[in-house]
Amino acid sequence: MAQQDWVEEVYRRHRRSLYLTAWNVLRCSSLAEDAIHSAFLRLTEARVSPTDPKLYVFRAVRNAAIDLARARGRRQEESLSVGDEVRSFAMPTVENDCIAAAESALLQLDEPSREVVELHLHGRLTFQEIAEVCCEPLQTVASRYRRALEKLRRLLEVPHE
Amino acid sequence: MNDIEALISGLPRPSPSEDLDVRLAKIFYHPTQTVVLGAPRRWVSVLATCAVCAGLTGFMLGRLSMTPAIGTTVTVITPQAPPREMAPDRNGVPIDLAEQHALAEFVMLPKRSESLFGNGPLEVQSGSTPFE
Repeated sequence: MAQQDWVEEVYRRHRRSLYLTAWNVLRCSSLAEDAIHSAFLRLTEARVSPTDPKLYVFRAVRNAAIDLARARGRRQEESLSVGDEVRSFAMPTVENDCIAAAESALLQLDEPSREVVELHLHGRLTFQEIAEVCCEPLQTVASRYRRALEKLRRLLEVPHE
Repeated sequence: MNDIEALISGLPRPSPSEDLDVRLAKIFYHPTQTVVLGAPRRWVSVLATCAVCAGLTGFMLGRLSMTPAIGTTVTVITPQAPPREMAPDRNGVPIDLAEQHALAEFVMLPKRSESLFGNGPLEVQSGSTPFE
């Protein structure tokens, strides 16, 4: 039973970030939950004790989401489904135009750059953690994030501070 | 955090539902599910064990049911006999074949014979000895 304690602990602490990690790949709430479910099912069966449980679980959830996306061919339909999913929980306020513009600009980023931005800003992961989860060098992740922000700034036409 | 980061981090994102918590709670607190998932592997081992037992039982019953061969003979043609005349009654020498031992010797060690000089296998040596 102690084997599962660390898995449950990671889920309890990083529930929302884990969910956003899967959602960022799948862009579908129900599929993201399915990916998390399947990842945790495997984690509880596995008899491993990782050195960094948090990153291990994040990596497992991301891999499960990628597997699910490949299996269902969701990545090809992403451009069609993202707008609907995001609009469905966007509040009808005056800031809607700004939100829609930001979402649209975010969608114009390439997938790896968008993933870095989402994991850093919404998932609250550091660049080092993102590099570990995505199996990329730290410098690559940092430069990808920097270029993504520059592109977003150009797309949104926000003047420099 | 600059303005772009603030804008992006302020975008609405979905949250995990209560249903996900319920599904994961079942995983965390009901580890018997792993036993159910391991069941097919156990069935394979049970079937393999049954097959091996059935095979051994069949082999032993087959051995036990074999009656000793009485009167089974093989005809050996003597060199003097003409090849065209295959007359076993006149030129053949009957030799008993212990059939009950023929198959068993493939899987069983040969019986050790006991003799005056020990219990090793009996060896017949030809040739001259110092006493001859």
